[in-house]
Amino acid sequence: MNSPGRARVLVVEDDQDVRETILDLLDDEGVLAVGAADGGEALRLLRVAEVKPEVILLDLMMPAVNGAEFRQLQLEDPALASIPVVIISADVTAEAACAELGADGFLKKPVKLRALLEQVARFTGGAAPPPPPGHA
Amino acid sequence: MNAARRPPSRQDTRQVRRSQPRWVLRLYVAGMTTTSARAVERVRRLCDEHLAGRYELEVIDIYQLPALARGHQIIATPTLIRLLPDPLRRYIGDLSDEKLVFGLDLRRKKP
Amino acid sequence: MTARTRQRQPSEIEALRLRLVEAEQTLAAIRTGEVDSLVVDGPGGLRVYTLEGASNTYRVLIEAISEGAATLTLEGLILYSNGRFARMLDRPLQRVMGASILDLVPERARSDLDAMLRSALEKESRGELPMLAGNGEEVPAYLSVSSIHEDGRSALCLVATDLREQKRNEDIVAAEKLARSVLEQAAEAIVVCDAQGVIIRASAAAAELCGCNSLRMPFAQAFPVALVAAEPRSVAAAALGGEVIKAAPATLRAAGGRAAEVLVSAGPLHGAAGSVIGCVITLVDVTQARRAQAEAEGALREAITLRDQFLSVASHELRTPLTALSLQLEGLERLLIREREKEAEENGGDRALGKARSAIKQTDRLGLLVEGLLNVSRIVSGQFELQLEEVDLMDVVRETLERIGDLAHRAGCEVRLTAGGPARGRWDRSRLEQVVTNLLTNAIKYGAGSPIDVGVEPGETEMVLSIRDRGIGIPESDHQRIFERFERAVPSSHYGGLGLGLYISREIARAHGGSIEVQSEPGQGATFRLRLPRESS
Repeated sequence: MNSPGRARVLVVEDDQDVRETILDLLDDEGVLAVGAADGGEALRLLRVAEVKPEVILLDLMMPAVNGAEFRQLQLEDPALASIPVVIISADVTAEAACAELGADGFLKKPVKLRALLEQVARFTGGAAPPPPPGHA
Repeated sequence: MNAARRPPSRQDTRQVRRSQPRWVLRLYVAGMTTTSARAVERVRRLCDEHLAGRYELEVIDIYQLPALARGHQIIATPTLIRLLPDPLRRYIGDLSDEKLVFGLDLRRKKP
Repeated sequence: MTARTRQRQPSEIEALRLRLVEAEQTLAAIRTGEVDSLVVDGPGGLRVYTLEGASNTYRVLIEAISEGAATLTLEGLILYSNGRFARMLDRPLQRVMGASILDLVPERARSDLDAMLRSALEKESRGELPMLAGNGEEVPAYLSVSSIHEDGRSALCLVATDLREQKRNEDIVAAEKLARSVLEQAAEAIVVCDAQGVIIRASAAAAELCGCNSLRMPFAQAFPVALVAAEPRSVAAAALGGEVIKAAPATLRAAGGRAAEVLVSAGPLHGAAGSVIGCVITLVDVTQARRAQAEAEGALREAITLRDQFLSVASHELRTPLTALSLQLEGLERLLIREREKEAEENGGDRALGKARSAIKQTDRLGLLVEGLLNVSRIVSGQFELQLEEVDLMDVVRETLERIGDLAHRAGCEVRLTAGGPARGRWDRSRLEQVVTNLLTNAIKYGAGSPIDVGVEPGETEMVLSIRDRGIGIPESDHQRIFERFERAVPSSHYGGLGLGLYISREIARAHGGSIEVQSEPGQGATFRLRLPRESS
């Protein structure tokens, strides 16, 4: 899944299980998504992509280039700066960091499937998926 | 001197004094000489014998109490002065029984 | 006789006659040596010319001594007394001389005194007797009576000591002794100054504090003290002014001694008349206590920081597998619901199974994390007990490699095992598994993409397991720190994990009587060695 191609969502998350689960679920919904394990890899993928993704799901705690560093580098690059970013984080202070980083959304771990899909739908223009029956 | 004999206490003297005419005596001595000691003894003995209970005696050491000696123009010690009763009498020298009695004009002893 | 003579009053004549008699008598007395001194009243005062050989020296001595002295007849008539005796009894001297001594003691003491006078003829008699002062108060006195013989006559010599005085002196001496012993034994620096602020007494501790003999020095010079809470002012001056200072913090920079933190207390000393005659200043050295307190505070702060760090890392770490797990389960649920509506496709079935398996793996992961936390709390609270049995270390290593083989493979780590022979010993099997797992997963995490060497060397008395990775390595300065609780030699934002693994592993090794060492340099990978005695105590 790591060919940028026409992926509409970039998932930047160092934990392999979490990243692959999200990619899997998005695939279930028919949303083409690609993943990166750290900020450096994410930047590389973005630069190479023919069509930039419509939203980046960004984890803050990562090795090498972490979330904040990635965001800064993204903003410095005019070709990438306008891509909206939704932050995924377990850290309590991350919500405050959102404002600082100018993020467009926030998902707190552990992430609820519905919240995840809603955030993605905001930027991919798809209708929010109907909640499965039995859910609030 | 009979060691058993004791001079009468001042208490006795004070009690008796009220009822009888009072004698006030001043004895001036020069410190602790033999003559002074003799003088004190003699005067006191005489007072106890003849004036028991009606006298007041002061012994003034001119070395220790010089201020008190000035008032009465003491020129030699021992000097005994009778202040009361009037008139003032002065006696200097050997205060032997006989002379004292005569000098103080006490009741004469029958010879 | 003239008319004038006849007019003289008979009393006048009598008076004149008397004066004549007296004058004659005086001259006769002087001529015959009946007087013992002549008194001349001159401008300089009374001059006494002694005619008898009464020694002047002794007289002056008796007049000057601090005891009461008197000469008595054998019956107790006071022939002579010094001023002290009269003062002691608060009576005029001229009344004491010529009085009988029995009148100068209370009634109940008279027979004792009489006995004293009598026995003095044979041998000096001494004793304590109360005397009577002029105002009726009793004066405790110590009397000493001896006999003197002069010119064939006997008389008594009396020396009287005012015991009130002695008692006062005894009290003063006792107070002195008490004060001295207090000063010698006091742990605090106690300094007594006179009204000018000059030190007149100082405790041994004071000498140590100022590093000198402070006697005769002005207080401010021996003890330059700066009060913390107030503007600079002289402590001694404040105390002499009547101010009371209680345990005020201050710093002391004594020239000969050391810099110290002290608590200063000070207050004035009042004399008998109520005026200030000096001051007392106490300095308590609290430097040690302060230092210990600061250290404790520092240690506490550090502990709190570590704990906070741990908590934030732990919450992140625990949430990660939870995230994956819950997403997977929800995804699985959606899938199953869709499958219920359509016909089951093989594709869908596989995917459901795959999701279920992933979910289980996450719960395993969570389980390990929780177990790790529980272990730490057990170790810390001392509930750590080994369950010893016959264990073959090679078995344990092989089992662990099987379990985490997947992880190693995905990380691109080839694990090479070299065994020196069977490695049996009496150890706690499950704890050992923990240690081996921890060391291996570390090697895989930090040495991803490179081979890992695992070696088992059995020895006579001990057994060594070594695990070598070719990762980023650990600088020497961190070799101790990595074994500490919540410590990792890399910033927490770059590598996940609770930082407990090596701490627990080392505690387990130690519990067996063994140890874990690390050998590493940056860029050279790391080798961890677990040593275990074959028989652990």
